[in-house]
Amino acid sequence: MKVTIDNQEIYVKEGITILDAAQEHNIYIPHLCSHLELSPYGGCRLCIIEVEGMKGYPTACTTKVEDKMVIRTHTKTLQQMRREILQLILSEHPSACLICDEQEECSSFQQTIRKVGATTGCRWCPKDGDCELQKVVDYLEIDKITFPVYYRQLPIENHEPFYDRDYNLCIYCARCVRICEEHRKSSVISLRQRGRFSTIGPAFNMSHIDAGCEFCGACVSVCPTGALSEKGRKWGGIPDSYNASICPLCDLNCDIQVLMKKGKVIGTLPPGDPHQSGGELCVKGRFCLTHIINSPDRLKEPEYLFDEGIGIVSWDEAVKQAGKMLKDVNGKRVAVYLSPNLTLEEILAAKLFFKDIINTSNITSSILNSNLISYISLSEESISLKEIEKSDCIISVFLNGNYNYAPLTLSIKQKAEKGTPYFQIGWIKDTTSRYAYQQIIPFPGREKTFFNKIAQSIENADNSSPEIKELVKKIKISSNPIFILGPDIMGLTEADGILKIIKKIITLTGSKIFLTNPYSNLIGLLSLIDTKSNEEINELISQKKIDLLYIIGDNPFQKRPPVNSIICQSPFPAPDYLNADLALPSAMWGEISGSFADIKGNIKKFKAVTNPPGKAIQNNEIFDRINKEIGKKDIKFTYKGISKLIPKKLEMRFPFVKRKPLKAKISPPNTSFPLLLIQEKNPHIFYNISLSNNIRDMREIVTEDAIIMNPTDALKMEIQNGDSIFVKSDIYEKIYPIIVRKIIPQNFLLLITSSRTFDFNPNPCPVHIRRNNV
Amino acid sequence: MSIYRAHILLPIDEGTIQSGAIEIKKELEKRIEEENLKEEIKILETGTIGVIGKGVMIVVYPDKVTYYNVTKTNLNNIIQEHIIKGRIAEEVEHSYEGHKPVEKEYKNVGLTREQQRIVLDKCWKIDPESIDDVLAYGGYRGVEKIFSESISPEAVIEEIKNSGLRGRGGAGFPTGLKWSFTRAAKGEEKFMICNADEGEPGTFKDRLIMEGDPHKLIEAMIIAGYAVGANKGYIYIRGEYELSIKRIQKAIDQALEYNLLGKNILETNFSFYLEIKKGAGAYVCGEETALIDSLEGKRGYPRIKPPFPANKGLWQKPTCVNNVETLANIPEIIYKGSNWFKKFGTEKSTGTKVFTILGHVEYPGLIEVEMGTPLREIIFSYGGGIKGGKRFKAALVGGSAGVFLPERLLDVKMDFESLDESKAVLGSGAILVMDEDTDIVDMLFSILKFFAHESCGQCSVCRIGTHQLLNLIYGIRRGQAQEKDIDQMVKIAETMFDMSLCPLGQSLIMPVKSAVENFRQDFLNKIQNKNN
Repeated sequence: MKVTIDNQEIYVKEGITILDAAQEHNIYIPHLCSHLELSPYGGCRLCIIEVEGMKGYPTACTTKVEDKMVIRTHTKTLQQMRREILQLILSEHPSACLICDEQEECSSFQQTIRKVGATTGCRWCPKDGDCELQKVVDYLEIDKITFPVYYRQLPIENHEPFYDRDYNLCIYCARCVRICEEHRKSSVISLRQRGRFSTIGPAFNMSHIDAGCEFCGACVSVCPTGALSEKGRKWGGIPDSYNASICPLCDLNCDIQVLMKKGKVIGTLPPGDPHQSGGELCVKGRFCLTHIINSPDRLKEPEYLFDEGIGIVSWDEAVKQAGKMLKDVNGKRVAVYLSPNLTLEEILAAKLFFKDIINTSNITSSILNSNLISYISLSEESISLKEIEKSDCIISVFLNGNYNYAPLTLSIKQKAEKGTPYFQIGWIKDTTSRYAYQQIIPFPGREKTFFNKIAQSIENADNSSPEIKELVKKIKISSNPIFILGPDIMGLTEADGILKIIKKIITLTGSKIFLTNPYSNLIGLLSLIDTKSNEEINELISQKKIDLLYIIGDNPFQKRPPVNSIICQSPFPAPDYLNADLALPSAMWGEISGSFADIKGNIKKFKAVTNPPGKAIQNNEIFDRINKEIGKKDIKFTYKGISKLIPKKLEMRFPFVKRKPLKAKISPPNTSFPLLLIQEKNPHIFYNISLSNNIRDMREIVTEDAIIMNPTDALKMEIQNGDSIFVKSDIYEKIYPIIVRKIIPQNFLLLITSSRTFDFNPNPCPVHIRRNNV
Repeated sequence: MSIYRAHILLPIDEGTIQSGAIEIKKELEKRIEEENLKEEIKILETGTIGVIGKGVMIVVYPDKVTYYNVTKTNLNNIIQEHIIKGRIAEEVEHSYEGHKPVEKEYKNVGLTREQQRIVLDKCWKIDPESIDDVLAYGGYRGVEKIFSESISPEAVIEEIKNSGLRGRGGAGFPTGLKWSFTRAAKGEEKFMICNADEGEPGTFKDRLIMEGDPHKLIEAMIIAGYAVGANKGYIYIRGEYELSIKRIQKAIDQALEYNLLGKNILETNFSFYLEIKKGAGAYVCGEETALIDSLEGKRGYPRIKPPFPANKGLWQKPTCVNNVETLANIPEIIYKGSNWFKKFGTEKSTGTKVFTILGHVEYPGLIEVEMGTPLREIIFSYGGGIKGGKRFKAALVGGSAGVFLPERLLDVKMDFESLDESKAVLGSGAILVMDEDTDIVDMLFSILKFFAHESCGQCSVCRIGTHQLLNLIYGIRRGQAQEKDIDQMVKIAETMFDMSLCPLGQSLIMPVKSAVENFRQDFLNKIQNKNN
C-alpha cells in the first residue's frame, strides 16, 4: 500500500496506523499517549496530522492508513496547534525543568558543599532520562507558557512499596491503566473522577495492595513522565549501560536487562526498549534484584569464630583455617548443604570438591525433603511454559500467583480471557482468580478426600458436589488439559498422599502437568549431584555421625546442630544462632557468570555484570584456594575449567527417601476450633535469606509471621489490621499480629513463614483465635 | 365499562411530584369519596401537559379546563364550584377552551396555544401506566401495520428515509440512513439502543415524553429493532429519572404481557426484548459511543471513530443508537406514512420539534411546533414573552453547548439549515431566554463550570482546556483580567474545537464565541468596573 507522508512516498502494510507507518520510516510525529504495545487511545492529541480529503485534524495514532493517502505531519498550522496543546499540558505539569533558563547547568550544580547538606535545583521528578514529555518540549521548542499555570496539589503517594506516585506530574495518557488492563490483565488501576479532577488509582480509593497490585512495575516503565517512579532508582539518574541477564529468583529464569551506572546495578527491567517494555516480570525480577545485590547486609569479608568471638580475618587466614578443619576430618563425617540458587558451574565445582577431594557423599539441600521429592518427581510429565498456549483446559492446584511466576500467570490469564476454562483449586485468591471459570476451595481439613472425590468422579460418575462434577466434565471434554501445581502443596501434611492422587488423576485423564518451584536451579542440583534427602542427613547429625557441616548459600537449621564445626559460604552472613566457625563471603548472581537449568533440562546462560562487594569472591575461586591449601589433587575449579564439564543435556536423579507413616491427625474445623489455619512456606527465598525479611517493601506485600485474615471475618470478630491475636490449636498456641486482606476466604487464616518447620501441626490446622489483650 | 360524567386528569411528572401532586391526588380521591362522586367522576393519572413552574395542575374533562397551582385549600374550591356546580372555579388560576389562557391581553399566547403535536400527542391525555388506554388511543398502530401488512424491514427504512426524519439528539443525522447502515452491517446479532441519558442542562423533553407516553417509545423501539435487524434493545435512561424508569419498566412489562414484546411478537417470526440501563450521571455518556461503553459496564469514554457503532457498537456488534424524541416520531410516520410527515416543517428539516422554553419567559415549559417556526414566535407567542415586560437580551439555544443569540437574530427559523446559517445549532431544543438584567459573563461562567465538571478527562485538550477557560472567566468575573484574556478564551475554545476527541470539547466554541462576539461589552464591563 502506498502512502505519501510529507512528500515522501512510502510503502506500508495494510491495517497499521499512520503513526506506526511514520515510525517505521523514521518520520517523527510527536506523541505521548500512544504506546507500541497498547491499543490507540487518542488522548494527548499531539499526533494530529492533515490528511487530504479528511476534514479536521485526525490523530495519527488512531487513523489507519489507506491506499494513496496523502498525509502532512509538519505543516506550520500543525506545529502551532501542537504547541498550543503542549502548552495546555504544561500548564498543569510542574515544568520548571523544561523551560528554565538554567536548565543546562542545573544538573552539574545541583550539589553544593556548605555546612549543611543542601541541594539546588528543583526536585520534582526523577530526571532519569525517561521523560518523553521533555523530548516533545525540546522538539516543539517551547520556552514559555502563555496560559496561567496551576498546581493540582495532589498528595504525593509514597506510602506503598516499590514505586512512588506523584500524580501532579501525570498527564493522563492512561498508559499505566491500559498496560495494567491490556498487558498484565490485572486492571488494578483505573481512571477515577473526571475532567480536571481526574486521578489514577484503584477504584474506591483502595490501596494498591488491597486492589491486587502485583507490583510488576509495568506502569512505571511505560509512564512518559516522572509521575510514577521506582523508589529504588528514583535518584539513580541515567544508566550507563543495559546488560542482558536472567533473573535467579525462581525456576522460570526470566530474561531481564540489568541497568548499570558506574559499575553498580541500579535497576532491572524486562528485555526490550527500556522506556517501553511492559510487565513481563514479577515484583522480584523487577524490583527486588537490585535491593538484594546492593544489600548492605552482604557478607563482605571472611569471618572466623575466635574464642573471644567473631572476628574479621584475611582470606589467607580464612583459607588456612578452612584447610585445617577439612584436613582433620574424616570425609564420611562431613555433611554438605547446597543452595538451590547456585549455578551449574558452582554445583559441579562443589561436587568435584566434596566427592573427589573431601570424599563425602553426604550432600543435600535444606529443601530436599520427602514432600519436595514426591513433588518434583512429577516433573517427568512436565511441559514447558510455551505449551500452556496449546491447552484447552487449565487447572491450577494450590498455586499462589501473587508476586510470583509472572509469565505463567500471564499466560493463564490470556488463555482464560480467550475462553479456555480455568479452574483454580486452592484457598488463596491470586491474580488469576478473577479469570477463573470456578475457584474451588477444597473441603477444609479434608483436602485428600477432596482430590480422591475428583479421582472417583473421573472413574465413574457419582454423587460428588456440583463443582467437582463441572470440573470433571470440562476435563473430560477437553483434549489437552493441563494441571499447574504450586509449591504450596509441599507444605501440606498430607502432601505425599495428595500428590499420589493427582498423579492418578493425570494418568486417568491424560493431562499434562506444569510444576512451579521457587528455586532457580533445583533441577541443576538434582541433575549434577547424587544427593541425599534432608531427613537422612538430619538423622546422621542427630546420631552424632557428623563432625563438620559445610553450608553453601543455604539455611537448613533453626539452631546450632550438634557438630564440631560449621563452615558457611554465602553472599549473606550466616544466621547468628548458627555460631558458624568460619563464614566465607561469596559472589552471587550478577557478580558471576554461570548457567541455570530449567524443568526440561535446558541450560540458560548469563554473564557477570559487576564485581562482588568487599572481599567476596566466587565460590569456584574459594574451592580453588582451599584445594591449594589441602593440596590433595590438581583440579581447576575456576569457571572456565568447570563450564566445559557440564553435560549438554541434564537428567534428574532423585534421592532415596524412607517414608514414615503420618503421625499428625488431620481433622476438619469444629466448634471449638472453627477456623482453618493454613501455613505456607515463604517462596521468596534467595540463598539463605528471605526477601521479605531483607527488603522492607517486600515485607509489606508478603509479611512473614503474621496471620492474614479475611475482612468479613475480621469485621465479625471486631479485629483490625495490626491487632495482636492469640492463635490456639489443640496442642499449640502463639501470638501473632493480624493483617486483613482479601486474598484468603472466610473461615481461613493464612500464615507465611520462612522457617524450616511449621509451628502448628498438622497443616492445615483447625484453630481458634481471640484478641491478645482480652 | 362504566361511563363517567367527568374525568379529572392529574398530570404526574417529576416536576408536579415535587410540588406535591401525590398528596393532592390522595386528597382529591378522599374528597371525591366524601362527596359520593365515585360513580360519576374518574380520576386519571397522566403525563405532563407541557407546563412547568405552575405547581400541581389538574385538567377537567370534557370542559377542557386546566387549573394551575392547585393546593389542598383551593382544591376544595374546584370541587365545590366545578365538579359539583359545573362552573369554572374562577378564583383558581386556570385556562380553558382549546387551552387558551384566560388573560385577555395574551390572546393566542402561551404554552397551551394549539400546537402541532406528533411526539407529544398522547401525553397528558392518557394514563401512561395503562396499556389499555394507549391501545384505545391508537398506540401500537405502527407495529400492527407493519406486521399485518407484512412490510419488510427495508421498506420501513425506506419509509423513514423518505420522511426526512433527522436525529433530534443534536447532530441532525438522517435517521433512515443511520438505520440502513446498521441494517447493512455484517453480523448476526445486532442491537438497538435508545439514548435517554438526557444530560443537557435545561432540557427535559425526553423525560416528559417517557413519563407521558412510555408506550410510544416501546413501539418505536420495536419498529426500529425490526428495521435494523436487532432482537435486543436497551433503553439507557438517566439515573435521576426515577419516574421515567418506573413507567418505562411498567410499559415493558405490559407490552410483554400483550405479546408486543418478547418472543414472536404478534405471532410473527420477529422477537424483540427490551431492557433498561440506568445511567450514572455523566454528561459525556450522552455521546453514543461513550454510552455504549457505559452500557458495557466500562467507564464512559468516547470511542475513537471509525469504526462507527453501526459496524462495531455494543460488544463490538452492529448497533444503532437513537434519541428518545427521534424514536417518538417513528410510530406515526409508519402509521400515517412519510408523505403525511413531510407536510410539516421545512423541506430539509421535516416534522416537528419539541422545545423546552426556560428562563425569563412568562410560560416556561414544553412545546412541540413545526420545524422552521421562528424563534421570536416561540419566545413571544408560546413562551408568552419576557417575564415582567422586560427587554429581551439573549437566548441560549441548543442547551449548554448552544449559542447565545442576540436580539438581531430573533427572527431565525428554528430548523437545522437556518440555524446553521446563523452559526447556531438546534441541539437538544432547549431555549434559555435571558432578559436585559442578565449578565452573559455569569451565564457563560456557569456553562464553563458545567463543562469543566463534565469533561471526561480522556483527551488532554478538553480536560485542561475546560479548566483553563474556567480559570480565565473566573478572573474576568473577579475583575482580575485584561482584555486579552477574552480573546485567549476564544483561542482556547478554537483549539478545543479543532483538536478535541469528541463533540463535548468541540462544542464549547459555540457558547464562548457567540458570547464574546455578541456581548463583548459585558466582558469589558466586568474587567473595567473592577479595575477602576
